Amino acid sequence: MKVVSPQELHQEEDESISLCSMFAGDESFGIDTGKIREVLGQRELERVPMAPVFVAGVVPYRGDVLTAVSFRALLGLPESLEIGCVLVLEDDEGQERFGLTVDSVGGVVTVNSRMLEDNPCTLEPRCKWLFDGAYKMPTGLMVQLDPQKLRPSRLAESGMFKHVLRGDRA
Amino acid sequence: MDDLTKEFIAESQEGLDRMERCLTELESRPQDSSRLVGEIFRAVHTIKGTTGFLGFSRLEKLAHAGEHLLGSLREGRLAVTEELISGLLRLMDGLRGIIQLIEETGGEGTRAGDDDSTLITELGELNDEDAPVLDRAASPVVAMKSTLDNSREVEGMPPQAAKTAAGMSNNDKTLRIDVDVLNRMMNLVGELVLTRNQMLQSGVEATNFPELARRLDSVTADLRETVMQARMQPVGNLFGKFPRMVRDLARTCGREVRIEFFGQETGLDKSLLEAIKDPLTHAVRNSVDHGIEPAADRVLAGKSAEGCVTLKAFHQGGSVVIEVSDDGGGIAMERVLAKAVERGLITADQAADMSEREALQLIFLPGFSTAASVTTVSGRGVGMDVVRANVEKVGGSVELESKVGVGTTLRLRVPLTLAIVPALVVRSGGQSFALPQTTLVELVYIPARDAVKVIERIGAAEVYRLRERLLPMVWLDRLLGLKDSAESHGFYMAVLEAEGCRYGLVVDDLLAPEEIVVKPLSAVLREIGLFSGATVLGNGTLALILDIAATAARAGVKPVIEEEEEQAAEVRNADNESFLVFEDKTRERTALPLGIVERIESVPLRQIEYANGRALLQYRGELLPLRDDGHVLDEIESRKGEGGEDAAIVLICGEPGSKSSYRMGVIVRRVLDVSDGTLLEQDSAAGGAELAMVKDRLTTVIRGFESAAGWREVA
Repeated sequence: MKVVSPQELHQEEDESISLCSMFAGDESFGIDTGKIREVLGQRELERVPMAPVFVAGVVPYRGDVLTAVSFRALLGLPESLEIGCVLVLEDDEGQERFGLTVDSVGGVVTVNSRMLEDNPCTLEPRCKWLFDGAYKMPTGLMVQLDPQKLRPSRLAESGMFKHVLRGDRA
Repeated sequence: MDDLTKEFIAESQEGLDRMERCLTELESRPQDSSRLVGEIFRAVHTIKGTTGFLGFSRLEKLAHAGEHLLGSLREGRLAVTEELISGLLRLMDGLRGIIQLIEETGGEGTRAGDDDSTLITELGELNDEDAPVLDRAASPVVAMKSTLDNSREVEGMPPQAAKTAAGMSNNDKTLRIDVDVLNRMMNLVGELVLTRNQMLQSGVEATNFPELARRLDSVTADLRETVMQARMQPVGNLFGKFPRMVRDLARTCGREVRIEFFGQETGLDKSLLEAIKDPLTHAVRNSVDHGIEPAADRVLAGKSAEGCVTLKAFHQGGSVVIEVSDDGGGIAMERVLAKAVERGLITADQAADMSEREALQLIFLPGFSTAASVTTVSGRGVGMDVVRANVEKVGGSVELESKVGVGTTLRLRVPLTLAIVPALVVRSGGQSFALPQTTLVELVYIPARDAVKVIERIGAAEVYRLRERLLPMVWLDRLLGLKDSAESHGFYMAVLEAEGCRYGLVVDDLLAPEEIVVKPLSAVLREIGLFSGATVLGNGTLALILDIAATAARAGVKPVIEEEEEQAAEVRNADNESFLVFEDKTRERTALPLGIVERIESVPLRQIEYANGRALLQYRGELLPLRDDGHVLDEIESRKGEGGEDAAIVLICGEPGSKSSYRMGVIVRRVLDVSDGTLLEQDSAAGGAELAMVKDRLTTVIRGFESAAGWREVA
């Protein structure tokens, strides 16, 4: 009998991760469920005038007022007429919480992390920065997102979304 | 950094603060020296003991040198002299510097610049040389010390002051709370959880739901109060650093100054304490540098050689007042006016017309300083305007009183807490915004049909004629790039004033005044610079809190001195008075002096209660008797049956400045106007009531609260 080293065991555990699937436009996306604090469901957001384009508005959450990022705006899609779903995400240290609005939220899917395919080299730089890669699902491709990069402060720092999107919209 | 080190830093800082207090006290009251020296010794000793244990050898060495010196002092081998105190203060600065370094970097610093040997030798010298008699372990460097020491002291002054200021920033993030308060808080949280459980189990339809809701309400109120209490810090914490500062300042300016405190135990929210720290420091500095005259001048003027700066804190009607007064030369009006004219802030004609009070207001204008020469302490143009701006930023106000030859008093008035602010909620472009009440001067309704007529243009700028003054108008929806709202019956203009800017903010609609809880926004949204926070309204939606001063700046509104002109105008017709004109009895106009009307509230009829046939209103924890001369309540009651609105307009009135704080409510049918008027002579035709001509119409004036109190007894 082969003795499985703890490291190998660890690897096996690591390989399967559960993602929460969500949709924006025609594509589907996934975020590690561990990084999601709560799915608030459909929420009307209070808009913030003069805010960067990627800010969908603010939403009250457990005594705080969170800034919500519009995922559609990040992708350069026009605003949806329907009310979006709001997710509450948290950065690694649990210091900063923020919201993310998508068209709708699906369910939890378990995938094998080894199946992650790299971004195609022809992808435009904005999406390349935003996407972690894609999983091949029976229904189509699911793009994995890194919540760290979706942080409003990080998005503002990157400077990629202020101008490009304004240009797109104009 | 591990917890042990953190705790050590906090403890040491407290010890050093105590030491600072004791040192300045020691200088002024040498008779208490045994107790004070004991305390200082303990502080240094504790630091030394703990450092050895934590392995901060540099700190230990310095603390040891200090302890040695203090030991001699304690045993009475040294006398308390000015040099000694200065040396000990330098020791304290040294210790504080190292502790700050540990806090910032985690290490005590071992580079070449971080050498304390000069300080240590100096302390050793003090120990030996100043000893009046006995027990000197012959030290070779005694001879030339005294002069050397003095010169270094003068040079060393500014960096020392800077270091103390920086050292103060350390305790900002931690707060010490009484365990009892914390326990009470935990109890209340437990109560909250229990109430929630019951509510969840019983559901909205349950018969005891109203009772549960009431309980939830009371628990929330208690909890809020307890948390507030925990945030309260005695202002004494802030005063603590002043004795040292005044001592150093007095020496650099060559004055003799003593500082006195009153009401140190007055509590103030921690964040506010931080906010007024700089303005207060500035004010104290001004008092010492500009206020107190040199000793010789004081004696000539028949005052004691030593000047006195007094810091006084006390509660007054929902706010905390901090007074900084000095018994110095006061502010010479002629100099203020001359300076203002010279700087082009006012014209010579204006100056001639100004009363003393208005002239004093000039001091708050940007770029104003009467200091004849620029000293290191003050007079560099950063002046009272900054003090006022900082205090106004937290919703406070500043007043100044001065009498030539007698002294100057600066009064800072700040609200008890920042977290909860009374605000007016308005709508513009389909969104809600909150305007802090402190900035709101008045509201003007402009009906759509009048809009074209009353809005006048100068170039592209739109202005409104408000009591013969042009007021710049700012459209909130245009400024924020919001959608133009559909044509409606008209719009409202909120006249706002912040940091000297006065403008009319045009909004679509007014919603209720509310006490809002301020929530901070994320960094990305703070960067926009127009919103100071957000709040959740009573109906569950969010509203952004508008930063009034920033909005003014964005719209290009500049601070104006027009304010002064207006005040001048007010004074010129001082025999006139401003009245709030309203209708309570049919066919009659009634008025109240504007000064006594605190607020206008719309109160639902069900909130008005009756006892002994008198109408009463519970208002902010106070029971107000309601005066209803025109039987408006009955009228509304009867109208309610026909489906009319059931809210009564109540003027909350109080006697300003009276200590009794007796207040009452006056029920009116509708509020008509605010206007100047002249009181008529009392005559028999008036039947005892006072009459006034307001806008050329006869108006009855309700006067005097003595009579109101009498009315209470009669009723």
